[in-house]
Amino acid sequence: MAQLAKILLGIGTAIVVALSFLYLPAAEGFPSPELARIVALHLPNAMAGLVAAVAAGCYGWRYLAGGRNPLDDARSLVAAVLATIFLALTTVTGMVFAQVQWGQFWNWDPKQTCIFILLLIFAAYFVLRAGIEDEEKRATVSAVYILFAAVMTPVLGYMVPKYLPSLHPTNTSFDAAYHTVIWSASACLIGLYAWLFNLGVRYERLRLHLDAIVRDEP
Amino acid sequence: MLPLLIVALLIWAGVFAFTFRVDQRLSQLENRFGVGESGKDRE
Repeated sequence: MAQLAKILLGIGTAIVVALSFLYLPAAEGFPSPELARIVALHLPNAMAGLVAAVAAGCYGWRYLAGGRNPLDDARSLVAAVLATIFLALTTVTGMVFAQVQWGQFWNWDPKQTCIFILLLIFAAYFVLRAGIEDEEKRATVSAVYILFAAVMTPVLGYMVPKYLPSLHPTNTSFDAAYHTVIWSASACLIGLYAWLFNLGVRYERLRLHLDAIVRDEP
Repeated sequence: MLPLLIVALLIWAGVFAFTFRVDQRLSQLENRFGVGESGKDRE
């Protein structure tokens, strides 16, 4: 990523953080209107997590269909790590919101239950990787599994909870200020995801290069 | 609300500065071992 893009991302995110405190109105109708602003962090994290999970699945598919390039396996791994981080942050911000609005950190609400299952699915991916020693076999099995995880992300994150009775409001109509801040924050977090993904892939490329040097040494 | 905003901005500044530093360090390593775009620049 160009240096300018990184600096713009830094400044843009700082502006969005400031806007979420200074520009967003308190959300009337919630038990704690001031703290309802946390949705400006909660929803964008979920979107970045979805993007990362889909990217992980795409690279898994590319590994299987496109010549078994070890770098595609590395890309899939990095995207899966980031998806797990963003989904965990979505869960934590959701728990804070739940405590403030519904009086409990965890309510086994369908959305909370679904994201918990999703986190377990991603955790199982890392356990699976750690359990296979042969690199090629690990990459192949992981690529198949991450495809499943990527498909399950929108299913468990959005589709299943939509059809179950939930504490989450279904007819939420945010005003224009919330839309502006939530979409801007989503763009910033997806930008941050792209940067971290770039760093992770570069690190993995360097690691593969150094591994090859060590292997080739007599 | 203002103290919370300052804390949030400081956290973001920390995350950004750390990521930027890691990026620079990685570029140095790529240069050293001739890997990736930074490494190609050197070559």
